[in-house]
Amino acid sequence: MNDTEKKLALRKKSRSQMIWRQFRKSRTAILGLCILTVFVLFAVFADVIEDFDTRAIATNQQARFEAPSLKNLFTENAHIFGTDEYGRDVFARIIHGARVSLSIGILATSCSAVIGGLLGAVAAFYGKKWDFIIMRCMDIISSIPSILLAMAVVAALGANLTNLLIALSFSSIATYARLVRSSVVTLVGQEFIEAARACGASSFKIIVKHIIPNSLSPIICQMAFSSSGMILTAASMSYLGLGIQPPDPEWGSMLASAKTYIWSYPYLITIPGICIVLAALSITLIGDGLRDALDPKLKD
Amino acid sequence: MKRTVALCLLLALCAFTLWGCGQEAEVDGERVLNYCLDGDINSADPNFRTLTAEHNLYRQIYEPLYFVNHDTGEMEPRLAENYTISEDGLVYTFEIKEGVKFHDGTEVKAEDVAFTVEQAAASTYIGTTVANFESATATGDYTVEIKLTAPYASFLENVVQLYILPKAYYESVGSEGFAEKPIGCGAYKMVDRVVGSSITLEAFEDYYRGVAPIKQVVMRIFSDSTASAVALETGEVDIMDISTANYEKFSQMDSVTIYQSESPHITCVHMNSEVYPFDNPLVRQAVNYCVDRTFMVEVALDGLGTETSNIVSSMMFGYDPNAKTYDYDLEQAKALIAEAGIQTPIDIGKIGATAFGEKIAPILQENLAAIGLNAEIEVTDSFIDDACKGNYTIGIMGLVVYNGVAWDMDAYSILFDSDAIDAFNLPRINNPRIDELFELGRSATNEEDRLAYYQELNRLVQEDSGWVMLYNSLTNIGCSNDLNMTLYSPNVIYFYDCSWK
Repeated sequence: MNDTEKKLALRKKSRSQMIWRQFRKSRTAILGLCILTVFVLFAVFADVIEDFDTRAIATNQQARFEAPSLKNLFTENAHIFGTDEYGRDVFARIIHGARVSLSIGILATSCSAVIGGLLGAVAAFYGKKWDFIIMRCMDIISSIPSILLAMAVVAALGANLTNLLIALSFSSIATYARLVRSSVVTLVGQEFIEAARACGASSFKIIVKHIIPNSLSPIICQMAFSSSGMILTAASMSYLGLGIQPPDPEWGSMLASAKTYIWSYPYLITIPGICIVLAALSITLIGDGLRDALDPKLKD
Repeated sequence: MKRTVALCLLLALCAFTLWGCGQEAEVDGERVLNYCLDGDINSADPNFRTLTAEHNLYRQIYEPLYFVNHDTGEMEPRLAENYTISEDGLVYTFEIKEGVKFHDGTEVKAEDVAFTVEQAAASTYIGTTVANFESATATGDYTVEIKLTAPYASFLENVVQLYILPKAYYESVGSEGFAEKPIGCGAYKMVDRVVGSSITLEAFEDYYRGVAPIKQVVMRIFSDSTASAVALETGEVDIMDISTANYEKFSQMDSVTIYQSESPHITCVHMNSEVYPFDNPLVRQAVNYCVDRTFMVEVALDGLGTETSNIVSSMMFGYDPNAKTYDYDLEQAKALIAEAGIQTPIDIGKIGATAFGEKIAPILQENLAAIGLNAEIEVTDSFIDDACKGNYTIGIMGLVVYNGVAWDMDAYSILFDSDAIDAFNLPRINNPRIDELFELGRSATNEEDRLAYYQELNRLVQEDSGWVMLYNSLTNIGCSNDLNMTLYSPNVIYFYDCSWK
């Protein structure tokens, strides 16, 4: 390793360290990170904690509407969040539902960011005709309210998890395309791109090596904010019956089926509701912290 | 200064909100009756009847020849004085009351009755209720003669329940104009309709049985059952169809009385008899044995339903108590599957349902898995269309087997007759004997023969078992405690019978 490379590595490290140091300063961001970590851990280890088939899916006529309690903890009859109208354990359904809700949030955001980002970059980099065609398409997409667009996509393709993912990603492509295009347009005119071009770098290499890394921070912020929105949209789509199919658990569909019991068994609707709020809130808090940390103007 | 303005605005807002709550509670010192409708009506013209909500409105503003009381089985005269049926069952003659007035002051004449029957027969919506209709003529001012092309056993019960329309007015304004400003001879006049929000009725002063005790009724539309339940609790509405989840809450409430009646609404599982493995009657019977009806009633209706495995309601004419019934018996179901030679477990595809069937779908899925038939659940709005076209394997459907008038086996032809394949004969039952029995029952004039035909039909359908009957619903009407009300089966309320205590 020669000197320059060492220096580069050091600078890279210190850059990420700097972001972390900045991020750490925000107490709310750390709180968000903690909540999200808990959710992610439960989601990842859902199968270890509660068995899917016997606890989250299998019905039990004798155990309907058991109130939340800490009785029988660590046994088969533990229902810390109670049981629903079929006698299924609500806690098991919440953590298995977390898998669906969180992965929809993350995957849909990543998909739309990658596709939208590429389209935006291509539009800005090649300009002229391509710019016109791509950006007018994005205008068309963004002229339709995103939840309506997602509903139309699901209605056309059929209601299941994959289609919901496609629908949600598709409906927010335009935001990323616009965001990336605007930051790339300013970058393309700058000297270091021209220098790279003069050195004979291919367009692909310029986009991947120079343009994308330099326009990353606004995208990351946008992703953090929109994944909380995605979780909410996914929940509302499932609430409307346009997402995951029963009997599989998902927070939104749990809300929908619990709404008839809002008076008789209020815990059924409260628990998934709180989970949705917490998940969306924690991601928003993280996004807030990241934006401050990534903003060069706020650097000490 | 700013703060004062803000405070004033806030007070004004509160005042308006409160004023909104108390709105329309009283008109001219008379308490208004607020009735909750589950959804808006499509048309106020009875010839376009498709919804239960519409029926609830028509009953108030129009009057039939007879009121058929399903609880007693009797026909109580309304506009008619009496009727005669010719020996061959082809000519029906009705004498109608003199001096009955429509809301516009004109008198109800025989030609109005004849016109009503003609219109109904021509209607695509309610035409089948007066099948075999040939002609209707007013032979005098108060005598009408209706001729049939062939005997039709349910004709009398159906025709007497048609809502009599004013010929002259209907013809002058046309169907659309009539739907906008309907005129009947019922106890109430429709004075205002705000689409999607409310329908206002006012007592008709010249009603022939005397003016109604409650002068004004507002039928308010609530599309959300939680919102309407709150409205009943706060006294904003006085009569409401309450959901089973709220039953317990309201039964403990002193301000609300609950009335119950039989409902013609049934919940069924249906299997496509043209698709493997349900082309085998043994497999269909196995499914009949494996469904856990008790659990389904508990989950879907909070226990407020009647489990039964005979698809023909015991209240229907033609019900056979000796037809095959199916009680939950897992061993029997497994034995039938083995007898059918099916290698279990097998994947049978999808359990189709609309949002209605979503509640019981997971239980059906488990029950089927218990006998080795594995299926995924798919809930879509388009399921009804797919099921009618036969693009499904097994599904769940809620049905009202009741043409709005007669409680007669004839109504079931839409579920069992081979003519109804590609319509609501969802299991695609194609049994020539069943078709023949419907024909026989329709044209028989002797009650005993008809009953025999229909009971054979009931037995055949139970043997075929393409329909898995699960349970009958009950109608639960919540009513303010200070209101006198009478509830007739199924969910029939006349505001005319209501009065304040």
